[in-house]
Amino acid sequence: MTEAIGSRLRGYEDLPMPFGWFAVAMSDEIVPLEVKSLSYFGTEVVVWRGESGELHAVDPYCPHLGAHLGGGDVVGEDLRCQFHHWRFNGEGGVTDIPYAKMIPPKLKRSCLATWPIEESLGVVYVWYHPRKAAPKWALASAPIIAAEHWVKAQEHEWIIKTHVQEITENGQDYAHFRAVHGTQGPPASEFQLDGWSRRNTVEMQMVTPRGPMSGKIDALAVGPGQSFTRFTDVTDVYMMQETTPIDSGTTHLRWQFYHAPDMSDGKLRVTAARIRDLVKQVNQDIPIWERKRYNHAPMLVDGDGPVLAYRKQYARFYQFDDPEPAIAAA
Amino acid sequence: MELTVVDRDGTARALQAKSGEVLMPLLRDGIDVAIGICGGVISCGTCLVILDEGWSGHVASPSDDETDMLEALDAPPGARLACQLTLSDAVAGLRLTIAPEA
Ligand code: FES
Ligand code: FES
Ligand SMILES: [Fe+2]
Repeated sequence: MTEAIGSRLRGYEDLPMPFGWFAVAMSDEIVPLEVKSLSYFGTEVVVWRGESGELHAVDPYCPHLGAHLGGGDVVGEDLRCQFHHWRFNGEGGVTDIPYAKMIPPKLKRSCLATWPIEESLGVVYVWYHPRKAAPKWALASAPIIAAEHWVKAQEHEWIIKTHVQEITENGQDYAHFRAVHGTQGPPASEFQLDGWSRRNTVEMQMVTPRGPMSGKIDALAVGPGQSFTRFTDVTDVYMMQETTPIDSGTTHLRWQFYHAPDMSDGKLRVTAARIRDLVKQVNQDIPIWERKRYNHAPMLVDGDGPVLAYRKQYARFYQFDDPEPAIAAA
Repeated sequence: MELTVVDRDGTARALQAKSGEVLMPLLRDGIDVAIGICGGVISCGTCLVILDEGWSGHVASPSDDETDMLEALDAPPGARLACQLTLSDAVAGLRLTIAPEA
């Protein structure tokens, strides 16, 4: 793939959407007995919460005569299509056809494609794979938050006109920190790849209301959709980040911030400033992301970060016919 | 080849067929449009027929999906889904009855 000369194409046409666990909603956006149609991955996912509180997700169109299931309602644990009132369970099997004498065995088993769906720490995730392959790794979470009773501070979200891969690439682009964010010099960092995850540990100078100070950033990305970052300096802030493709040129970015429990008022103020600074930084990045193109062969020099190592790992998320045995979700 | 089909009124009728043809469309187009509602994907059961004794061995045995459907329909011995029956010269002279509506 070469860069088109003199073209305004941004290169995303060549990039498919990666497979993985992706956030599609916040838990409180889907109350029991509610149906939601969520637009992601260039398609729609119809999600409902049964009376038990459990979430289920299926493809959008009814296998009967094709009504959009997002217009249906929830009866007990099942989704009911509005067109002829067929009912479906979370396995995509038909549980009722009000006018037929029997439910054909094949339809009872399953006739509607489903999506693996899970929720963790108030975020709803589905497993996306264009060939519907089973999850290859378990949904990641942040056990420290529950175990140590960390406090949720803020939530933020953006819809950004860029490919999902670009947003997490930003963390490997060390040289932009000074130019775009005004941080002090290129950070000393460690970068490790391990299976489906990537860890960046960065010691860097951070701008705080009290002037520059050194801090540590420990970021763990699992798959293309989830990152967990802990910022430790005078305060201790935990950021969950989810990046989800809406289509190959549009990404939904979500952040949830937590801080350590029992912080003094002073530390809480520093925490708020830290979060404000991170939000400011992404707002500095977004206009650049929304106009840049994807260079398949970037001119990298000494002092740039591990962009290519990142891309090499990321390429695994496009190996749709990967012979690797799929593992069940935990 | 010629087959004999006993319809729901009990009337026996001759039906012309060629080897390689699937039985269901012949019944739908020649006997009753209410046969074969699902088009042959084993989700309606409206194409149920009962082969006369001795003929079952002359056709391929049912798939798992068909077996499940026959069970769900409480079908008697010799019953098959016409949408799953491809005719061959081995069934020339076959006599079958269209099952009563469930
Ligand atoms: S289209 Fe959904 S029940 Fe008929
Ligand atoms: S045509 Fe529907 S089951 Fe045979
Ligand atoms: Fe940035």
